[in-house]
Amino acid sequence: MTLPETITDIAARVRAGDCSAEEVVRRSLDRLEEQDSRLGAFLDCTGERALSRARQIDKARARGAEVGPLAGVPLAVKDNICTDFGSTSCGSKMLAGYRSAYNAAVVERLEQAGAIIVGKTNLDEFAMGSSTEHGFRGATRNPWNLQRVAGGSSGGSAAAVAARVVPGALGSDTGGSIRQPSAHCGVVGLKPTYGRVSRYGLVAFASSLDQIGPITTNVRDAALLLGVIAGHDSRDATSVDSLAADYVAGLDRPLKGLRIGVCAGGDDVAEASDAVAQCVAAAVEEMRGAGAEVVPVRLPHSRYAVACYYIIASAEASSNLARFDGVHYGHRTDQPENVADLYARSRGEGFGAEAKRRIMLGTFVLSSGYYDAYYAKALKVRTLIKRDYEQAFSEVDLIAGPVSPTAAFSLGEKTGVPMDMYVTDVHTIAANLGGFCAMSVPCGFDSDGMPVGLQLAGPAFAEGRLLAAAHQYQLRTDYHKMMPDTAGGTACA
Amino acid sequence: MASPLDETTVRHIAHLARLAISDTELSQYAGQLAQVLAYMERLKELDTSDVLPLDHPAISADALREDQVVPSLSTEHALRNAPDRQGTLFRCPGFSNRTTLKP
Repeated sequence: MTLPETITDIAARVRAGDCSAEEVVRRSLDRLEEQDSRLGAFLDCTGERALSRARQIDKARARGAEVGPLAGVPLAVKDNICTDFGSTSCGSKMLAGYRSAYNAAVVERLEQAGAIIVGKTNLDEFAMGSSTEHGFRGATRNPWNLQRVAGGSSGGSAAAVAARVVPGALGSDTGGSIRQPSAHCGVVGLKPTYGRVSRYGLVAFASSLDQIGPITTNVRDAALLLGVIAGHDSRDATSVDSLAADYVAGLDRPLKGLRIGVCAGGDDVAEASDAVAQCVAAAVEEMRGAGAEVVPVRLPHSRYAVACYYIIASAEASSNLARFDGVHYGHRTDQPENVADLYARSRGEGFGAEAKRRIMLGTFVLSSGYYDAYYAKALKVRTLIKRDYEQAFSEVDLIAGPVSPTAAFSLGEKTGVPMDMYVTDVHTIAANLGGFCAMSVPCGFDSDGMPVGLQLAGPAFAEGRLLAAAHQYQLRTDYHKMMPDTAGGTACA
Repeated sequence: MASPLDETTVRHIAHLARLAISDTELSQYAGQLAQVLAYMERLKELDTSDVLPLDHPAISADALREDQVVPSLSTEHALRNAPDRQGTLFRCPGFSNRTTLKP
């Protein structure tokens, strides 16, 4: 009998005793070994522990115990999310060999639900990047074309899911780091509302923007994973004190009557290649055909979003990364002269180029004489961007658009000029600046056969609405069922 | 307009950020950061004199809870990634230059 492929099917069949957690986890580990030398999606494999936990689940089920809604589901976790097993390196030499003393809240929740973590995935160093080329262990390659980037910063998680090594993974999204790699790899990625998911145990990059979310092959699985990881956690003071909805139960809501906003243009956000624009337009047309109403909206401050974001994110990063000083944990330089020398050389050696650039940019915009012109200004522009979206969401239920201006670019294409990389985040960062929820759904391919993502954005705590609309779209399309050749021979059960 | 991020400023910023960087890195970062900063200039097009700053999107930034004693990391766990330790303490060099501290 063929083993199930999706999170929903694996959990159902393991719970029913139709297949064992051990078989499913073993298959995942086999695929990891077979594929990862090409992809570079994983920084650590936690296979022994995963198999042992799978056997525990199988035993518990055999004696009739409750095994959880994700029983036996193999998952991968981005390596900036703390696990007290395996690595938590953040893709940085600074944390090479670091062993977290505790599990992140999301890891606790996944494991309590019966999920089995098979490995930690590659990322841009400290999640700073849009290509997963900035990690200390090298780039992750796109399963659809090994000469292209996987996107970033959660590129390892997205590539692992696209290659069907795991049916789902966690990423983190500070400016698009879940949605953009999901779009580039042809999978589903959701950035929840700020506060929906606990950040306890997520290594902080920009604390007012960071959020953890699921990456899966289909929307139903994303709804299932979000339901498990969402909810209040007293260890994260920004986590919202309200119950998460049953996102799976809400997926049947029809598209009929849903008001979908589409950017009217003239706001400098129509920036997208012809191929991306065509795929997105066709997706919107598909939803209109199913009864949705398409309404033009204006987002007049969008041309300022990238500048606003890189000031704020870098400022917060420079502060958050001050903790890496070579004293308590992390890389320490040899033979320091004194403690100032210890700090400067440990940090100079431990951080890669992109992290250093952001730390310096952040230090600069917060420094005396420049604070008002850059940081304080950006905070005010953040208000204007948030207002644009609030105004739009008073007229529409969701906003549809591209995730990224193009499909995945070539490895090395944008690493030399940081600004070229930064502007690719133009469509995704507003959701982080405003704290809204947004997701990426596969909606077609460009002429090179690379996947294109549709972004659906919603107001705070409208994840249920987003997921339902995306699910209804997937009931009408097959893009999410397409798999790269690298995942060949693994047809969906 | 000359960029405020010339090599002298970048050297000063690197010092403030406690980052030791080489001369090669310095000139590379100065060029790249000047380009990034030039892009940021577009924010000056906007009149924000009547706009309040938004530093956080949190719904409730003042979450309060009971102050309760609960278990926390053990000393051993807290020290297990220490680059150097002495007993139950983190060990690092002093604030003064060690070569100037001859008895």
